[in-house]
Amino acid sequence: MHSFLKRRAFMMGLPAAAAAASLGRHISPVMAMPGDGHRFVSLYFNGAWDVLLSLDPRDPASSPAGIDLGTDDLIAGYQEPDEWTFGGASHLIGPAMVDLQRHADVMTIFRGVNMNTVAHPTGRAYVNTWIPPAGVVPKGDSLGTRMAAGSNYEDFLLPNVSIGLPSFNHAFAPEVTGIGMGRSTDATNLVEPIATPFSSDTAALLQQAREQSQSCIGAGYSDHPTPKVNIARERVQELLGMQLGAAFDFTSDEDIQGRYLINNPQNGAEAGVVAATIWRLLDLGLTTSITAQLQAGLDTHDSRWATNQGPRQRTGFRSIAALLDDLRTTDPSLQNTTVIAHSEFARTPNINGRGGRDHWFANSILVFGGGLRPGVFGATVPDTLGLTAVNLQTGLPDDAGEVIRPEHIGATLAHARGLDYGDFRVDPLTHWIA
Amino acid sequence: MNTQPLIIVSLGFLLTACYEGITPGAETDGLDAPPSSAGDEAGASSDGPGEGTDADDGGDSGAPNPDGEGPAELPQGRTIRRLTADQYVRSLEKVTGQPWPDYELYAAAMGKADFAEITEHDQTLSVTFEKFANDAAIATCRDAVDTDATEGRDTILRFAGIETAPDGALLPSSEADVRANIQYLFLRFLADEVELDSPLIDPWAELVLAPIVPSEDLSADAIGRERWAAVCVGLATHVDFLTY
Repeated sequence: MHSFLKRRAFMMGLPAAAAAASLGRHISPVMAMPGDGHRFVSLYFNGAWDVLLSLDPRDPASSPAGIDLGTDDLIAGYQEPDEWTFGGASHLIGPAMVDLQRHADVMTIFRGVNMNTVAHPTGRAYVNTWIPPAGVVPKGDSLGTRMAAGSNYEDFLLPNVSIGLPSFNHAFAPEVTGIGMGRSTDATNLVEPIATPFSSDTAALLQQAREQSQSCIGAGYSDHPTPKVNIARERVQELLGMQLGAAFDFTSDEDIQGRYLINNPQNGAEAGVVAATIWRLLDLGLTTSITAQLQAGLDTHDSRWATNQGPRQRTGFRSIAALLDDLRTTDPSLQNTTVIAHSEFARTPNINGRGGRDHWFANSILVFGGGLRPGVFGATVPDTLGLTAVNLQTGLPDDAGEVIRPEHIGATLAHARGLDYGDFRVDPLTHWIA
Repeated sequence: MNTQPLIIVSLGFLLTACYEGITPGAETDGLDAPPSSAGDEAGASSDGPGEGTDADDGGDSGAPNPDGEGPAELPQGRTIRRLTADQYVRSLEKVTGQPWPDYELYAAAMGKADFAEITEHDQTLSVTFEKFANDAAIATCRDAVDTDATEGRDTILRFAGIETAPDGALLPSSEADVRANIQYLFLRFLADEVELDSPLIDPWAELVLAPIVPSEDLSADAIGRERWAAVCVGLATHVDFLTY
């Protein structure tokens, strides 16, 4: 039987927390960190990001032979990378990431990651599980599911949340199956009734009848659905009992609107709303693992690349910066927090005939915390943005090394958490674990 | 009214009433019972996984076995699946006679694929599905009971009603009427033919027949409607309704 005893003890303070949240105040750190749960956040940039504007830029003065930087086409503010010092070295970072500079001390960038695909569905499946997919079909479990399974998930009502993305669970307990929300604003509807609820007497009688009623599904089925329904029903009842609706309604929360630079609090697809929802879910102790689509509209094959790609990436990164501000209030060095940001692949180094960039397999991945060393691991060919082998210990180019693949990152994050990494079928980058 | 038997029979096929799983001698949806598998101790013990017995292989006909040596672990048979979001809402409308106008707002949260980002319908018995399925059931069941009570229809209240005395007091249905109505609802919702004295009816009859204490906020009539709506919700969110 599923036990919620530990969580119940913690949850006793939640109505007060919700009230505090509705008033725009920070919730006490004691409430924010139940048990010893590690927090995992996976953020997806939909459409394939142009790493030349962010994670893997080039200096226009270097005039790379095989790369058309398109500097003159870009709008002001997105033409020049900047030099940041983190991880004990200087690195060029693209203009779209400017808002993340204050978090560079906990930032790890993996460059030259071979996605081995330029098809959106395949890339999306790959960065969901970090295991090579079979065509467009994901293999294995979502990384968020894996991370939730490795946590004290019994302490959380919604151990593994997935916003706008599918979640997979083949190998772990049903309790850590991703709880799907189409959009971040569904969180409000999840924690409060949308139909007129029954009176307390009738609700109690209904609950009693449900508990006494029997299913006619035979015991011969090993996957009898009744336990799963009971778990889900118990969680829903607890969620509704907490009256958390106000905590996820940002329309009157000027504090969170300001910090997350939210334009329309009712737009569940807006990066700021997604990030703020993630923070609330974590801060209220409802979940330990969240996977979400943070930003979309990056598939810029035409001239909108020049106008949209940079600002849209920046909006996403700015939301991550705000989320990190909040996460670091309780975990300054992110020792118990992993934030990973990714896209399905990157965009071509050359600009096509329509003024945009097409799909490119040499990707970069961004991680904050997670027990990793800050810095840049891996590289692409300076003149072409092509893939290159790197030494898996130093992360520096090395012809005798290996090209990094997404499963290296999955294995490394799992190993850094002390989880089994066998499913990834590669060794973790142990020298990059702090 | 004339279409009710047809609807009920159709639902019987859709919802496939009681199913017993794969047990020796049990019905297996027209399929032959699977041979002993690794999960079946008797069959697994002699040969171990990966090597079939003669019985496993279906006898030596001389023809090559398309499965080679025989699968190491045969599935137990069909697995239980949850209705998709679309199937659930359509089924709910069929049994209650009421649409759920909010469905499109919450379809994604209930697991409906958008075929842009999410290409498979989620059929897990998740917290989000449970939440929104319950909301849908409450909304449609309340509407159904209200419609029955005010317009004289008999979708939910066929053998028992909600009648009040001139002073507003609820005139209780007899226990026999209540049980008959729940028996009818079992057939309507779960395609399950139960006897009037079946213990399966007991919890729901107790829900309806519990003493009614009106308050300033809730009249006896309103409580009576709530009780039947609650039975409707209970059956529309019953695991036998949600799965096939």
